[in-house]
Amino acid sequence: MSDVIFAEKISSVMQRVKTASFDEKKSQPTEEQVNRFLDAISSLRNFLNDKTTKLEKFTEGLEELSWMTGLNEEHLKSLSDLIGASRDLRRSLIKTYVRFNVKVKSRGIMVSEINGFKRSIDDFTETINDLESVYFYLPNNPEFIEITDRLSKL
Amino acid sequence: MTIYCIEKFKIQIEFLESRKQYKEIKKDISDYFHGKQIAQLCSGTRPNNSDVTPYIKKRINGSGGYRLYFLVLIKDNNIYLMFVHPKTGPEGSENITDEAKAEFYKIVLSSIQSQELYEVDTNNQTLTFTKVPMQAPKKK
Repeated sequence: MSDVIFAEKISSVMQRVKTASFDEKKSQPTEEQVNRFLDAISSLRNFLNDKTTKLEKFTEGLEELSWMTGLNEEHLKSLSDLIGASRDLRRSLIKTYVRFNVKVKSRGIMVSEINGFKRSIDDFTETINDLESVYFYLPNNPEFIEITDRLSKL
Repeated sequence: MTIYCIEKFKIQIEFLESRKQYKEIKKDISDYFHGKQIAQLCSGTRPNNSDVTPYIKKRINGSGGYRLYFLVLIKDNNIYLMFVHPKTGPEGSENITDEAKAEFYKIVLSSIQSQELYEVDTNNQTLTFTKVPMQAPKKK
């Protein structure tokens, strides 16, 4: 290859680098654009954290309901309705989680917040099942009832 | 307030403590009980619907932590630790079944009656187990 061809090749690459450098300087995101992006992430994070906090409160509320004694048929019917409504809420929360998982977490954004949200859904689910067990399944287990009776006589 | 546990619980804690993911388990449980009155420990879910002998399931260390099952005999001011399981890690598991809840309940009653228990000390941010001496049978 001749010297002329070398020079042309170098010059051609040089031109491309200069153009790229110029474009890069022009296309830098403005501070406002960066702030807008960060605000959007922060707002999404707050939105999800609020949901998680609210859900944790629901879970504590359900746990407290397991400490009631002397309930009548009407109370049990209301509890049964509450358990059904809580399961409906759970289904909607799972859909929200899946959306966040696919659209956000898969891109490495808000991973710990999304995992925290999932754990709060799991706790909520566990407590719904526990509450159902407390009022609708364990009271029908004669051995369980008998042990409670024997313990109270110790 | 005196805390006891059944033998199965002690074995389980020692096994979990031997796994690096759960090496803080004694501290975590000790922190939950230490310095508290019984009334402060009556929270969580109560499977047996009893005010005098509440059987309690408590979430320790939040969502990804442990699930601890214990019995309280209010009039004696005693607590009996029955079962614990982690929610995450290699020994992590989902909620236990009603049959399992009934089984631990049965074991704790029989252990209280036979005095096959360990006293649990929660000082120094750990759990120390001391076998309860067997009582001589009462003379008729």
